[in-house]
Amino acid sequence: MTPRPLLTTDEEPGFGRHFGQTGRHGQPGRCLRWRAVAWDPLRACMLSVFFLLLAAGSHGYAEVAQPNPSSPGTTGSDTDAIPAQIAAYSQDLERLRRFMGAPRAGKFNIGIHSDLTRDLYFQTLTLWQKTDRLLFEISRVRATSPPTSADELGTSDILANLQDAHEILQQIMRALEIAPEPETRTDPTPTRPDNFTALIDLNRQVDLLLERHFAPSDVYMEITLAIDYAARLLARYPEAIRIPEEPPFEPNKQPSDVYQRLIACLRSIAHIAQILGFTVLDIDTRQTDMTQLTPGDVYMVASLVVSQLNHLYKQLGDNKPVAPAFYPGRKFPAHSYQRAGILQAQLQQLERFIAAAPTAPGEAKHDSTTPER
Amino acid sequence: MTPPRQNAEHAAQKHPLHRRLLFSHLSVALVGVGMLLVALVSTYELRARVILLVNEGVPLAQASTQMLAGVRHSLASLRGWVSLGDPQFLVDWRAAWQQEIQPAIERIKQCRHLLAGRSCDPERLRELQALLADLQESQWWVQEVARAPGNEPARMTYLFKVEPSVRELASITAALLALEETTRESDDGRKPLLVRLMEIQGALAGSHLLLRETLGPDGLHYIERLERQLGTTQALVAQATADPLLTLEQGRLLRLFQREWQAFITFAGEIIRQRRAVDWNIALHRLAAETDPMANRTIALATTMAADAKIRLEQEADAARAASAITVWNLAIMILVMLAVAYGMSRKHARDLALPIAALAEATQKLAMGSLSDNLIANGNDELSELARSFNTMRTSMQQAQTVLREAYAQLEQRVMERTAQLETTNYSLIKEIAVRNQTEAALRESEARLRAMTRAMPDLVFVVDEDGRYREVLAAGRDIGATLMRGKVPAPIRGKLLSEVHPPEMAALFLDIILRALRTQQIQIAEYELETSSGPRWFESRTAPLDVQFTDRSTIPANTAQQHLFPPPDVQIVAKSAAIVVARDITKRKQAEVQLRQAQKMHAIGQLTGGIAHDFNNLLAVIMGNLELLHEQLAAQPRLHELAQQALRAVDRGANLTRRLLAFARRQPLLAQPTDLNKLILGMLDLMRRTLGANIQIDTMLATDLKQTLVDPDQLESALLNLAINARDAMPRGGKLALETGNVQLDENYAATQQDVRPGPYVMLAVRDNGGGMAPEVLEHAFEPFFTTKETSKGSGLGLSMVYGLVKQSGGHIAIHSKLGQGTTVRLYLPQMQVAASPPTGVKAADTVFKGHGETILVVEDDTDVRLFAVNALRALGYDTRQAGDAAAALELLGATPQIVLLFTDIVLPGEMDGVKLAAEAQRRYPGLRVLFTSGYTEHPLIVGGQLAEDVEILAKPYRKNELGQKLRILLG
Repeated sequence: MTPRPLLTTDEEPGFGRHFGQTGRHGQPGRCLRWRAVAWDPLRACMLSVFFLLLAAGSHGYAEVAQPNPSSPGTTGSDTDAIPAQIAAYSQDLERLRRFMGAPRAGKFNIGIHSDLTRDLYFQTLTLWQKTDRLLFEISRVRATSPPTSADELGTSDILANLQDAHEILQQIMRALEIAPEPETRTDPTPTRPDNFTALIDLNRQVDLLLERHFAPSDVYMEITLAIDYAARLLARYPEAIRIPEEPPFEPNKQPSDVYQRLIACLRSIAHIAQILGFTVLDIDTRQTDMTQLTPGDVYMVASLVVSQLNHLYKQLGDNKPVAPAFYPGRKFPAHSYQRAGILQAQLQQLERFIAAAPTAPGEAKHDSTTPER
Repeated sequence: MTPPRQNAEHAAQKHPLHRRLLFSHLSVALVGVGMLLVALVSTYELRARVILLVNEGVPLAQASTQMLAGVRHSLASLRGWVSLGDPQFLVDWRAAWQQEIQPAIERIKQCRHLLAGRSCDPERLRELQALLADLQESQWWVQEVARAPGNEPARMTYLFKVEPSVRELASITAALLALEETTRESDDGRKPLLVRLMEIQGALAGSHLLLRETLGPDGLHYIERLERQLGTTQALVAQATADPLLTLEQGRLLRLFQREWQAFITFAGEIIRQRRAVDWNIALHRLAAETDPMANRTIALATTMAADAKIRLEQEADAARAASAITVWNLAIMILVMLAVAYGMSRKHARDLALPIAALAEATQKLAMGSLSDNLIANGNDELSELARSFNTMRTSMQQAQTVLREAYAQLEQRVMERTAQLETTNYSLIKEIAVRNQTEAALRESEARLRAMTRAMPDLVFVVDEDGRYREVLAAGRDIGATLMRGKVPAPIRGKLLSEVHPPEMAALFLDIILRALRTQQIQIAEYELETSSGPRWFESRTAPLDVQFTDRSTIPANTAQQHLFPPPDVQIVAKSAAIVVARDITKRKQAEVQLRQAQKMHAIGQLTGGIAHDFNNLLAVIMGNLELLHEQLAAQPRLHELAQQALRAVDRGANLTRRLLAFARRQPLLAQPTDLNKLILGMLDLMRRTLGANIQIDTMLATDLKQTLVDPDQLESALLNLAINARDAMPRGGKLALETGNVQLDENYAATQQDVRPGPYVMLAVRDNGGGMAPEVLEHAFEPFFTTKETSKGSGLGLSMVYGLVKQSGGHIAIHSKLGQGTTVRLYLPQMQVAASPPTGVKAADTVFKGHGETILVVEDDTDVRLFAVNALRALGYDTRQAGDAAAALELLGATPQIVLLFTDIVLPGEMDGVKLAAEAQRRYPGLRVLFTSGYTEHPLIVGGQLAEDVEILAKPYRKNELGQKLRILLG
């Protein structure tokens, strides 16, 4: 099983975040960086297991990747608990919003929809990060990061993230001395297809409560992380240019420009996944109001790009871990747009190579017959 | 029939010598071919090795070196960027990859053959490529993170955690102090608490400062002090918390402070831990931990590959050397073998061949010496025996032929003698004929030379044109035939060209018509015409004479003519063409001279006419003026009539002025020529001219510093200059520039030849130039004619330029006018230079005051009664006694009869044989001391030479006023 992704730098979300490593947030000394991981025997053991699985064929992966109740880490109760947990979080968040006098986030179609476990997981992870940042801003402490599953991602991981985030939210409310309300029945109505949208809405709402919103620099970091993943994927092809030349800097860019370039990247990934037989998220930006896009929304799209690449990396990448992301300093949307240009060029190469040889050198094509969702 | 194969065998048996030679040569050839094959194989192998060395060995070595250098450069540049942050290092880093490493890898990949060897297998190349890609990726990551804030986690902790915490702590401390200040106003005993709070504030600031110091490169040195400072601060906070002086609000704030302080301590601990970590600087750490080892592995692998490639190259070079040596040895051995075989076989066959050939040579020598009796021995069956037999047969035949030859020789001798006699006779007659012919040719050459010299000497154009209008010959080209005939095109040979190719169509037609007329009439045709040439239009006079010579021409027969059917093959025939010789002379100068002459004649005729009219008119005016003056004086008591008489006198004055101008144009005014400096004259007139011309006309002077003097009437010249200035002013109604220029010029023969009445020589030039409207050519043509004016009726008399013209001509000078519409006008007066220095004029002007006489007796001689009457009346009015005569004879009688006559006042023109001048001469001869005053309407008389009065001659021009007469008389009578 591939280990679940988590943050690598201490406390501050977005600093050196990368996936495929073990460790917990906020635990000094346990922050594992690429070097430590590379030499960690446990990591090596897990990578060996991963490659054995790959060698055994992709069919097995499809089986384990199936996020149905029968898959590891997933239970029927977990699946049902997720909407309830989302509703509980939403209820408390609304109380906190009213207390803080923050505006209500409007409904927004981000143009992407997915009910894949990994995408839901990454959205819950983003929610946890934002809630944790809110906690720090209010009470100057950091929460303990949620535990990472050693197995394939499952609904239990999603639920765990949600519960942790909710706990942090309640901690904030306590710090603000917001009296707890009597237990009310949460509405479990939202079904799985709506979980993604609900999580997106929650993420947007929490972002509005933050003093330091998710900014273009966070987007920049996320894209840099995606570039690292793409470079690792391109390492399979000797002729590939792993880090293409950076496109020229174009000023006057808006978050919508970054968004559109990232959507183009997502489409490339979708095409690659289609060739390899993977299932990926749905993209339909026709209803998206580009004028309403915020850097926080773009960050969510960037995190989805990372999650897709992480998935591909698990399936196709070599055994070398990706480099940790790092805080790049103050950045503007134009910088993120420029950086996304590198990613786009990488993905175009990858598309070309995979289209030319669907079964990559030394690798068998993933011919899963069982849909992931 | 005998099969071909049997024939060949038979021939071989029949020619054993041939077979032996063939075998011998084939053997040598086989050895040579074998040697060549061996050499070829050896050379081919050698060539392949050399090609490999040149095409791949050298590039591989260079590319390996370049790649290693590139890797080292990239590493050095990256270190520079990480350490110093200079963007130039990034540029160098990119350049190292793009210009050194990547091209080197491409070049290495092209060395396929060398890489295919065991020492440098493709797998290692792939490994090298992968290593390089990893290295580039790693370096990219390092250069990305190196200058990002996230490169140092401790700094990030400080940025995102400590700073907000410090801000919070500072604000709480400030609130505590503010609260304490407020509380202290009512309680003075709270000073210890205030001091404690201020200590906390200071300790907090110190902790913050030390924490910041730990972030620097020497941060580790501050960690211990920081930890002590944190402890101190912690103790102060604890003491403050327990202070009984705290109010409730202060206690609440201090609790908040404590909570935030705990967070601060946590963050500080985190920073200390991060700062102590080995990877406190991610870029440096990764550089050392990953990038450098990766680079070292890359360099090691590349070095190994390069070394292997070098070994392979050395092996190839050794193999090439070995192959070369083998080739040399093989060739040497084969050459020796071939030489041995060739020597043996050649020696044997040479011996077989030499003996019979020597016998044959001996027999041939005998044969040459005339011995025809010895036969050669021919016992064998080979080619040499056959040759001996043939030789014997030949010898027999030669014996027979010798006999026949002797007989034929005798007959031939006889015939030669006969023929020689005939040839001698013929030769004698030919020699005579050649001598005559040589004489003829010499005469012809002499004639041609004379003709050539003559045509060269001719200034004319001489050429031959045929009836088609084609130039056949150009015998004399004149001065510039190209410029003359080519209408300004680039001069080119005109021989062979048609008239229409050289001249405009109408002129070509005219020339052809003249030529045809000359050919038709067989008479010389003379024509004058004007041709446009590169130097402008020029006049020519041509004489066209028919030529008795016909020119031949090769013409092509049209393919469809009937003649072709009659005489099919030749399509070219010879056609005879008549021609004429044309002698064309440039008569442009003559034409110009004719025009000038006509103009001069016209001006002369106009002068004659105007002079005559002016003379008669002056007489009339003299009478009118005299009478009017008398009337004017006598009507002084009647103001109305006096005024009318005054008006009439003014009109007479104007009339007199008019006649003076006419006389000036007709060059019949008496001039008082004096040595004059034109510069002084111009400078003296500048004020007058400025007033006359007005302020909107600028007067520029360009006066020659060494200007010679000229002999001219200065008053008249002033008047002329003023006239020219006024003309210039009228040409510049909106103002402009008037330039006056003087200079010494030399009019040469060429110029004089084109002008009428101009003598070559030195002149003083006065140029008057304006930038006014200028004159059209048709106006310019009549500019000097009297009464010709372009001004409005009341603005000009048309006599200004005429007077100038007359003055200049009368002064022996020359006038030229250049004008173009819109480009202004320049009038140049050329006055003769004075060759010797002249003394300044000594004329004494009489005072204007007293002109009355003292009863002196004056003889008035005038053929016109009215004029004479006026003169007498005037003299009387002036206080003189008078006598009068109508002609010279009467005057002489009166002189004889009246000894008191002191002055003779005579008209120059008198009826009869003796005019006024002769009368005066005679009178002075008879009565020395008699003074003479001449008067005249105009002065066309030897007394006035060239328009100038003779010395010591006083003249009073008609019409004159009484006062003028009185003035002259007073001057003469003292």
